[in-house]
Amino acid sequence: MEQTALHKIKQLQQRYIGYQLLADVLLAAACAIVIGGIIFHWQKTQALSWSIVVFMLVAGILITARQPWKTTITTICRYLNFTYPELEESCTLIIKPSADLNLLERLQLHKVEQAVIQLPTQPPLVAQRLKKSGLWLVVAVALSVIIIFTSRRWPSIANGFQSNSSETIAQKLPPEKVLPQISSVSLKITPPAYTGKPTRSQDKFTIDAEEGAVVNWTISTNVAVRNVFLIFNEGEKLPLKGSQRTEWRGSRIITKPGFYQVSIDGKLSDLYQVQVIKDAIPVIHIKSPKQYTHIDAGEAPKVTINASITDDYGISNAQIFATVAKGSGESVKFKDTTFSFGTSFNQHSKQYNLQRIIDLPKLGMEPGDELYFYLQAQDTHQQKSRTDVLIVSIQDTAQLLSMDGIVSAANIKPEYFRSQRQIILDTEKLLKEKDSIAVTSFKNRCNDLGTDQKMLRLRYGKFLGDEDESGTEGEGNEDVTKAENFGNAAVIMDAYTDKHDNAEDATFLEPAVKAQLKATLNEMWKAELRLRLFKPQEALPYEYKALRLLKDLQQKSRSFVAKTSYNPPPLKPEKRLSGDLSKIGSPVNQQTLKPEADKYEILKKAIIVLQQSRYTVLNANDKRVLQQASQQLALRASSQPGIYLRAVSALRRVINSNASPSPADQASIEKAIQQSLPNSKATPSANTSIADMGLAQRYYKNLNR
Amino acid sequence: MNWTLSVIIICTVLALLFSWQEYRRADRRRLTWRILAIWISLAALACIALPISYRATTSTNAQTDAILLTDGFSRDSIPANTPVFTIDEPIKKDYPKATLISSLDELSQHQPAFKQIKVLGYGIDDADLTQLSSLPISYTAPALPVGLQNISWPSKINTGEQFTVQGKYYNQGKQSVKLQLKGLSTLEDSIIIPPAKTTYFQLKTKPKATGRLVYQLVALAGQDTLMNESIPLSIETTEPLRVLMLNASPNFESRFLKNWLSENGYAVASKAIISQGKTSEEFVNLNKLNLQHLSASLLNQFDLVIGDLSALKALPLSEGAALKQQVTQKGLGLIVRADSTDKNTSWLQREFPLNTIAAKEQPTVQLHLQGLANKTAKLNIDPAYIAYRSNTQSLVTDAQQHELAGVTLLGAGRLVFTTLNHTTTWLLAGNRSDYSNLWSLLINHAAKKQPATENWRLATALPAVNEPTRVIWQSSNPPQNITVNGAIIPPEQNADVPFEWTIKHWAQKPGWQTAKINNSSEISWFVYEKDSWNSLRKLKKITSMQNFAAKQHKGHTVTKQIQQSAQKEVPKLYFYILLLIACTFLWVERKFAS
Repeated sequence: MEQTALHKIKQLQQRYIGYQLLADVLLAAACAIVIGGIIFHWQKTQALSWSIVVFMLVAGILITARQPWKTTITTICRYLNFTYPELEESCTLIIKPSADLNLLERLQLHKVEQAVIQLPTQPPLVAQRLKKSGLWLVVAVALSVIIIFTSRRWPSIANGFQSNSSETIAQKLPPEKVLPQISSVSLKITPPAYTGKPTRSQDKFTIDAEEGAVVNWTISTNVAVRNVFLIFNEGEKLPLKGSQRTEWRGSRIITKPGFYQVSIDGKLSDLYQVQVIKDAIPVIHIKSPKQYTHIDAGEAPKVTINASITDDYGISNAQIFATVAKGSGESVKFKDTTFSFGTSFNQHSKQYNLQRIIDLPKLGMEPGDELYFYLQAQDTHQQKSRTDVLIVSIQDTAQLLSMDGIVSAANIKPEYFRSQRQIILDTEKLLKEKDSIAVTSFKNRCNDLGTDQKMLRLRYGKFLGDEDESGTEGEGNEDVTKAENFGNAAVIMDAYTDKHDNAEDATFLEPAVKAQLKATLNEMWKAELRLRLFKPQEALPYEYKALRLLKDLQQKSRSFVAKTSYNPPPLKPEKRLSGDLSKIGSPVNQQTLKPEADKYEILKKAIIVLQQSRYTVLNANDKRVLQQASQQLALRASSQPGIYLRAVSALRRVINSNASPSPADQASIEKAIQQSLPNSKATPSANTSIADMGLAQRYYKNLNR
Repeated sequence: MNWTLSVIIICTVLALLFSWQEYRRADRRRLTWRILAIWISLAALACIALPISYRATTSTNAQTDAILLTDGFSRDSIPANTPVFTIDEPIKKDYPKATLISSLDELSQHQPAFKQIKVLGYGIDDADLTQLSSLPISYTAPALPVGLQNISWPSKINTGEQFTVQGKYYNQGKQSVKLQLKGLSTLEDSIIIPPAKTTYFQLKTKPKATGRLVYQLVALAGQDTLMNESIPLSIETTEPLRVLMLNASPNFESRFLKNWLSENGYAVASKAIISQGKTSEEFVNLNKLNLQHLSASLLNQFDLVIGDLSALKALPLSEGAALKQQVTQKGLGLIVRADSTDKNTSWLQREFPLNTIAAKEQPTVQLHLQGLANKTAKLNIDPAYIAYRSNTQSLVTDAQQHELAGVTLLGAGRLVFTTLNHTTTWLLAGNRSDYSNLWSLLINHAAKKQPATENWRLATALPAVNEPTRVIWQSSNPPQNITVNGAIIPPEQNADVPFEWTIKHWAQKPGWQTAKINNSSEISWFVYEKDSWNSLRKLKKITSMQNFAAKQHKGHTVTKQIQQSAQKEVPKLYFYILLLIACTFLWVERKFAS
C-alpha cells in the first residue's frame, strides 16, 4: 500500500516534468510559426529554415531557464498538501523511510496513503501550463495564416521590399514576336545620372526607360544580313552598325514615348513599345502653419514651419522665400529674405522632413505687418516646385481700436462694439496701474470688468435666442396682478413661460453669421472667466479676439453683393428712345458657319468595317478605311504606346490577312478606338412622320371639321 | 424467298410427311382423326409464324394519344403505354424509346390515326406548326427557361442620345448573375441579378461612335459566361433644323442659343427689337429673308420658332394668327420662353398656368431632364413654376418636382413652354453637355415632324439565319426594285393598308443584311446566329404553341366518332390453343392406343 502511494506520487512527478517540457516545446513552436509567417511575407523560400532556427533557440532558452527536471518529489508532495486538504499536510510521510516513522506518524501514514490513492491521477496544476501553451500555438497558427493570406492579397507590399533588379523588370515585360533572323537581342538601358540607378540589361525589345536614358541595342542574327534599322514611330530610322554582318549595334537617347520596329533587309518586325518614365517634380506638403496665420496680441510672435518634401529620385535643395510687408496704404514697403532649412541635402534622399522656426521680431516685423512666404524644392533633375504663398500677420491693436469703421454710416450696432473696445481699454489701463493700486481695489475693478463683459455677452446672446438670465423672476409680470386679468390663461402663460425658440430669432440672422456670433460669445465668456479670476493679463487675448470677430461680423454685413443672373427687362419703345430714328437703319447680319468636320470619322467607319468583317470578307475599300484608321491610331500610339500600340499591331494583322479577325484582335482595336473617341454631343433633331400617303393628315382634317 | 410462301411450303411438306407416317402405322384406328389433327396443328403453326389480319372499320374513340417530344421535355411527364415520337435526333439519343420521324407529316398520315398529339417541351417552330394543323394538339408548357425573359432596346438612336437596354432576367441558380452591356469591347454598364429571383434591369450608355454598331449583352455567373448576345443598333447623325428666333429685346439667352445652334450647322434667323420700329436681324446658314412681317409663307420655311413670351404677345393680330395657323395646321413647332408672368389667357400660355413664388433670392437648383437619370449642374431659375395640367407633359423639373418646362399638343404642332431664362450661365461655366442636353430635349419635342416619303421596320423580332425575316416597307410609291444582299426579292403588298409592303427574306449568313429599294434607299438589319437568344426563342415557342393549341381547340369542340377502315391482326392466342389441342390429341391417342 505504501508502495502504491509512493508510486503514484512519483508518477505525478514524472508527468509534471513531461508536461512542462512539452509546454515549452509548444511555446517555442508558436513563436517559430509566427516569425516564420512574418518572414514568409517577404522571403518565401527561407521562411522554413528561419522558423526552425527560431524554434531551436526559443525552446533552448525556455527549457534551460525553467529547468523542469529539477522538480523534486518533495515539491510534488508540498503541492499536494497545499491543494488537497484531505492529505492533512502529511504527504511527506510517504516518502520518509518507514524506519524513521514514530507511532503517530505511522498511524497518520496509514490514513494518508488511502487519501493519496484516491487522489485524481491528474491534478489541475499539472496540465495547466500545457493547456495555455496549446492555446498559444492555436493563436500563432491563426496569426501566421492571416499574415500569409494578406501577403498574397497585396503582393505589391511584399514586392516593395524586393530589390528592383533588372531580372524582375524583364519578367514584367510582355512576350513578343521577333524576326526569325534574330538569334539574340540584348538591350542595355543606362538611366540618366539624376536617377542614381545602375545600368540594366534585358533580352526583350519592349523598352521601359527613364526620361533621358541611353539605350544600347545589340542584335545578333543567325545569318549574315546586309542592313539592320530601327524605325521609330514609323518615321525616324536608326541604322545599326555591324562588324561581322551578324552582330549589330546602335544606341539612342530615349526622351519621348512611342514605338519602334526592327527592319532586317527590309523585313519589318512587330511593333515594340517605348515607355518613358517621367521624373516627377518634388511634392511639398506643409504641415504647419496654415495658409493664413493670425498672431493675436499676447501670442508669441513666432512661426514654426513644418514641411515634408518627397521626390521619386532625390531632392537636391529646399528653401524658404519670404517677403515682409511693412506699413499700409501707399507707404507699404517690401523686403525679401531667403531662409534655408538647417538640413543638408547632400545625400539626395527621396524624402525630407524639415522644420524651421522664424522669429518675426528678428525680421523687423511689428504689429500690423505681414509675412508672405513660400517653400521651393529642387530635385536631382533640376526640376523645381513651389508651394502657394502662406501669409502670417501680426495683429495691429491700434488699427482694431480705431474708430474709423465705427463712425461710418454702415455701422449697425455701435453701442456693442464700443463696449468691447472699452473693456479692452479698461483692462489695459488696469494692468498698467496694477502695481500702484491696492490689491482689493484691483480685484474690485477686475470683477467690475467681468460684469461688464457678462452684460455685453448677454446682450449679444439675445440675437441668438439665448435666454436672458439677468432678469429677476416675476419682473415685468405686472399684468398678472391686475384684477381684470384674473383667470386669463393667456396672460399668465405669457408671463411665466420660457419663450425661447422664438420663430423670429431663428430667422433674424444668417446661419453663418449666427455661428460667428456664437464664437464671439464664446471668446467673451472665456475673457469674463479670466477677469473674474483676477487675471486680466490672460483675459486680454480673448477680449481682442472677441473684438476682432465682432469687427468681422460688421464687415460681413456690409460687403454682400448678390451674385445672380440678370436679364434686362424688355424695352418699352413708346416711352424710351423716342427721338427721330428715321435716318438710322436696322442692322442685318448674315453669315455661314460650317460645322467643323469630324476628325474621328475614319475611326468610326473603321469600327463598322471591323464589326462587319466577322461575317464578310473585307474588300479593297474596307481595307483602305482600316489603313487610314491605323495611321490615326499609330499617331496616338507614338504618344501613348501603352494604350494604343497593341491595337495598331492588331489592326495591321487584320489588314494583312484575308481571314476574319480574331476576337482578341477585334476587342483590342475596338477598345482603343472607343478610348480615342470623344463623347458625342447631343444635338436636337426632328422626328419623321409615317409615310402614310397623307392618311394621318386627312384624318386630322376630318377630325377638325 | 418470301417468308409467307416458305412457311406455307414447309408446313405443307411437313403435313404430307406426317400424314404418310400416320397412314403407314399398323394400328389403323382413328386414322381420319389423327390426320385431321396433324393438319390442324401444322395450320396453327403456320398461323403463328405468319401474321393473319383482316380489314375492319373502327371508330377513333378507341384510338390512342401520341406524344411528340420536343426540346425541353421532362421525362416524368411522359405517360406510359403511349407511342412517343420525336423529330430531333438528340432527343432520340436522350430518350431511346421515342420513334424518330423525319417530318411531322408522318404523324398526320399515321395509321391508325391518333386521337390527339400531346406536345411536350418548348414546342415546334411556327413554320413547322402548320403541318400539324390537321391533328388535334394538346400542349402543356414546361417550366420557364432560365435566363432572359424579355428585352427591349431602340433599334436606332441619334448621336448624343442615351442608349437604354431594358428587360427581365430570371436567375434560377444559387449564384448571382452579372449582366454587362459592352460597347466596342468596353464595359459600359452592368447590374447584378440576385440568385433565385426574376429581376427587371436597365442598362444605359451614351455611344460615342456612329453608324451600324453591334453591342454585346453578357451574363456572367462567377467565371462562367451564361450568355453573350449581340445588340445591334444604328446611331444616326442628326439633320440640321431651320429655326426662327423672335425676341422682344436683345438678350444673352437667345444670343448664346443662336450661337450654339449655328455652330452645329443649324439654320437660324433671329429678330430682336432694338428700338422704336428698329429691329436687328441675323441670319446664320440661311439666305436673307424679310422678317418684318410674319406670314404663312415665311413661317413655312422654318421647322421651329423660339420666342420670348412678350415678343410673341406683341405681334400684330394678323401675324399672331398666321403663327397660330402654321402651328395648328402645318405642325410648326413653337418654344415659348416665359419672360413675363402676367395672367393672360393668350393661346401661348393657356395650357401653362404659372405659380410664382415670392422668394427673397433667386433659387439655384439642379434640374431633372426627362429621360436622363443624372441631374444637371446647378442653375439659377426664376421662381415661376408651371402648374400641372392633364394635357401637358413635363420635360424639366427640379428636385421638388416643380415643372419648369412642359410640352402640349396644339393642333398638328407642339408647343413647348419654359420658364428657364438663365441657361447661358452653363455655357459661360463651360458646361456644354447640360446645355445641349436641355435644349436638345426642348427642341426635339417641339420641332416640326419631317414629312417622310418612305419608312421601314422589322416585323420579325429576332431574325435568325435560315429563318424568314419580315421587313415592312412603307412608302407612298410602290417599290420598284428590291434587292437584299444583291438578290431581287418581290415585295408583298398589304391588302388592307395600301402603303405597306412586306419583304420576306431568308438570310443565309448572320450579320448585317442590306436591302436596296428603288436603287436609292438603303436599309439594313441584323440577323443573329441560329442559337442566339436561346431563352427568348424558347419562350416564343411556348407562347406560339399555346396560341396554336388554344386556337385549334376552338375548332375541335364538337367531337364525332370517325369511322375508319383499318387492318386488324388476329390474335395469335387462338392458334396456340389449336396447336395445343391437336398435339394433345395425338399424344393421348398414342398413349391409350397401346
